[in-house]
Amino acid sequence: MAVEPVRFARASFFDTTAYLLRAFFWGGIGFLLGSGLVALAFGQSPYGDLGLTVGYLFGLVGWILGGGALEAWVKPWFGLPSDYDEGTGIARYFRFNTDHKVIGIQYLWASAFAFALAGGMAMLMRAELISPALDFFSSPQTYNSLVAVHGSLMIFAVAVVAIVGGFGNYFVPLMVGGDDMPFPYVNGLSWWFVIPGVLALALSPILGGSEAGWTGYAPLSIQGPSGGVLYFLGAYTLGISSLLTAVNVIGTVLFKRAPGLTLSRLPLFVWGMVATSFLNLLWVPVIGTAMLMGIFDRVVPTGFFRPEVGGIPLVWQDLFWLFGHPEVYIIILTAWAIWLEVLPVFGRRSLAGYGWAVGGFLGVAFLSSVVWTHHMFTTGLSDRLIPFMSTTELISIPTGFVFMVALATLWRARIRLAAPMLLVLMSMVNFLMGGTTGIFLADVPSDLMLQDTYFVVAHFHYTIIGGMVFTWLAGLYYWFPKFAGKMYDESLAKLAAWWVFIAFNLTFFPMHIAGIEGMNRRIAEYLPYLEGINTWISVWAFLLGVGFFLHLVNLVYSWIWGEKAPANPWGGKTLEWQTSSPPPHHNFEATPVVRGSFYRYGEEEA
Amino acid sequence: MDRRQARDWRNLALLWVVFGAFSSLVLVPWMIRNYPPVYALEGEVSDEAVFFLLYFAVTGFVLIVVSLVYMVARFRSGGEDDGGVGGRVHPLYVGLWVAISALLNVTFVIYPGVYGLKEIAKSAAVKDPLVVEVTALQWGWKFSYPQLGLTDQEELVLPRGKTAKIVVRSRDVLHSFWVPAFRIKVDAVPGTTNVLYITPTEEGSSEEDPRIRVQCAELCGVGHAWMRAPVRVVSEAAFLAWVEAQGGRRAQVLAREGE
Repeated sequence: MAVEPVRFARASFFDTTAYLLRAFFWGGIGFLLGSGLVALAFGQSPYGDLGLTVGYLFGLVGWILGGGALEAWVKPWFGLPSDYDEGTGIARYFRFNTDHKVIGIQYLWASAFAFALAGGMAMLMRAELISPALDFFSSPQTYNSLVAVHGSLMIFAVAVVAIVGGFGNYFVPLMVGGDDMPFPYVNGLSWWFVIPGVLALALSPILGGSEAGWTGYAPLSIQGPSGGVLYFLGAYTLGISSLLTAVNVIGTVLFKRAPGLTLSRLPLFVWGMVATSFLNLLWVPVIGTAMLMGIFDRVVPTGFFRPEVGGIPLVWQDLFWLFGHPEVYIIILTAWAIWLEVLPVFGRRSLAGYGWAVGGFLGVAFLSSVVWTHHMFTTGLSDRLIPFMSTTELISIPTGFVFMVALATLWRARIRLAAPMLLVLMSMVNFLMGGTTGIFLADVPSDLMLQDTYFVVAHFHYTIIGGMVFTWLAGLYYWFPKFAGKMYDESLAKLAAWWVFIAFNLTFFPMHIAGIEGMNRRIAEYLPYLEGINTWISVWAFLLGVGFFLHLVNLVYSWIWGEKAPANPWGGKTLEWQTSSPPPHHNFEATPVVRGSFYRYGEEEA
Repeated sequence: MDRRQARDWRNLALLWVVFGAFSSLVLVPWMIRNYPPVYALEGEVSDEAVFFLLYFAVTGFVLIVVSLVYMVARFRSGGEDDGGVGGRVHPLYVGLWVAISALLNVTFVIYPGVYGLKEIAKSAAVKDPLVVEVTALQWGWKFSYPQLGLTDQEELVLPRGKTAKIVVRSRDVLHSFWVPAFRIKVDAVPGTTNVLYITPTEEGSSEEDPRIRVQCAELCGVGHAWMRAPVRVVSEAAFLAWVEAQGGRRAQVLAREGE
């Protein structure tokens, strides 16, 4: 099948986005129908908790059908004629599609959209925090809502989606030499849960906001204005998307591997995705349950987390972090895996210690399930302190394997410092900082001070932006020639990489100090003695925002006007480089056969 | 090992010595000197933990970043081909790496982890502590001294050198009782009671140092940022005067301690 080039100029806006616009329209109608029914049947406000919940469910169905699932999937169920066209060119990315490569790009743009949205909110928050008094917003309610939406979007729609959904969908089948994922329709469906989740979270401020932050701690999260119910609905929807992707990734690795691709030869990114997918499979249902219990507590109302009727607020924290901590590793495992893909390619050096890297991934995945109480050291659960402090400290051992392998691979390499390599190295430094500050939070005596301060804010931004977002950028540049079929602008990429690296560190490093000086999290207003450091942080935060925008400019510009990319610009040995850029519809002209390791350099070719 | 590789190792070892010494002899002591002052015995335990970990964390971070920067600078190529075989990790390297990281982790769990917890818990064994019942609510703090017959005070006043048993409850949602100058905090959880022991070591007040304040540290809604209360640590005599001025009674618990 011929490669379909991306044409941006030719198709009109409405032709390109017809299905997406219909999805929005039907989604809106569904919402009004659902919430209107509640208003009629129960005499409640259509924008109350129940109205929103039912409206959202109806809207979700309308959205998915409108996006093309009606023609692609539902009509054939009933034997109805359907001539659904999955589209070509850029239009493919805005309608129901079953090609894993298209879905991967859909995830990437959706995450980039959520990242820009939530990043813009962070800019507004920093505008408020330039000075101590509440002067930018009229009410702390607005600030608190933005905190909640920024955090929820960044975690549920960017951190766990961008690499896992974007690169995972696009590259796992390619890297194992398969033609697609085993359940392409399920895969197509999975993406359609992302945008409604993003919208539910992002729109909650209009309805009074969700007050309780991205962690949604009960009982605060089950009280308050009806915007709060959108937090549970949005997070639940995004969880469904992760779960469906996890099933497909594991299925791909089990059933779609090319001949000769034994598990001991599996690319490290695929290992990272396997470890991540098992974590999703195990723990997303737990947070899904928690989210449903939260919805029921608000809507019915049940009393799971309501102490006045015998509910236990801390059970929410247990359920949330049972998923929430594995999630941290869902975010970072795939980033580590990308480091170890990029280092041998740009170091022209065989990967040192493949087995240790895989062992590290699996060890972290296993241990990550038994550390969650370290988020709850200050809640008064004294029996749990020592066990969970021990497991938390322990997890740094398999984490260290990744650094051990990376450093050994770089030793006596021949390093080409192209943008992907540069960003991976920066990501390693940033993540190392985040890991190092994690030691202070794992150790109970120091955590009792640092918990819920800006030290924690600094810590997790170092791990998530520093570790995951920098690696996401590295991956975007690394694989850009493959998925866009074009080359990006190297000088601008390097400039923007240094820009975000410097601005990122000057924004987030001082937050450690602010925390130690007594600044707690999630406050719109602070005491005047903290002003200097906060003004500094805000200024650099704005510059960081500009830096991310530069990357976006580079990617969009290069996709449209970039030079055509060769099949294998970096001399990579994994299978995605052994096909054209971009790959044809079913990935490979002939099924590849694997005869050795993907990470050997300087010997006879694999 | 060829001569070039021996030279690379020697250079790296030299950098480690220089930067390791700089980190542990200059950088970390400087950070510790600039750490904000602590006003409670239990907080000192927390600070000791932070200081001990700083030596390893900062030095470890510096050494790995130095190694990384050295390698990128040293092994940079003009773009020509392969850097040789590689692909294996030396058993000595793996052995040392795993042994050191395991040793550090076990150490951190025992000290300052378990040790620090035991130290903090010692205050719970103090006889006749001054009981302060703290009620957290949206959005404010109430302090009651049941032994002294004082209820619903707006200010937390503590005598220096006397262990206070802070009993924390919430009337509505989650809050967290935190005085940054005392370091350690505990959450106020609706439906349960949490206890924190604080032994103030220095006199001071919120006016003198804004870190001496009760600050809610757990997001609790619109008023979270403002959920603060003034704190004063005073001498025993001044404390008794304050109790009398507030209409409380002179309690056994303080008299015995004064002997």
